[in-house]
Amino acid sequence: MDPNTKERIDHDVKNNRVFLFMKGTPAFPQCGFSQRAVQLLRHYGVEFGSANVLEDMAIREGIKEYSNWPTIPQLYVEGEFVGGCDIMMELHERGELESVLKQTADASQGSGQAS
Amino acid sequence: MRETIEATIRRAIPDATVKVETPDGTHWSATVVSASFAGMSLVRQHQMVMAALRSEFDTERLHALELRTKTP
Repeated sequence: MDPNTKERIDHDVKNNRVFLFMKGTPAFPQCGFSQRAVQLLRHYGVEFGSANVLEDMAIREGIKEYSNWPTIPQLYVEGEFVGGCDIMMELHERGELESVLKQTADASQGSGQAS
Repeated sequence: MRETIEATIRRAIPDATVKVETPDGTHWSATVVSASFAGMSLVRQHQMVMAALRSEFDTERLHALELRTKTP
């Protein structure tokens, strides 16, 4: 991956608390898996940034190396790779996705969940 | 394709029990059970499997794989 591409990915995932690399846009996902990822993020009401890899070949290829993950969508929270659609779905089913998505807010407010 | 997916995963994770299924020859799902997943986060478990299949995805022989990973 060329340094410029890595820098752009770094910039996206570090300047957006939640960031999704996807096919299409949140308004018009162009793949069922990307669509499901967007639906899950909306379900939890988190704000997120996104990049449409179909419009950017360098990012489309670069992101696979960046995360050592060969498919799109890819979710990042706090600069960390969380996973693709299946992992989001499994975390959702286990009831863990919300805390993954909101981890910083919970930590700083200390009142995210009843204990 | 089924054999390719199974063999590729077993090469990366020799002790794995791999079950690959497809309803239509286009959509694939795999269940991978391996003791080596113990103590790994879910994303690390999936990463091991997905990284092994990189060339299948790159050549678009495989577009998407529904993946479940477990410890025995």
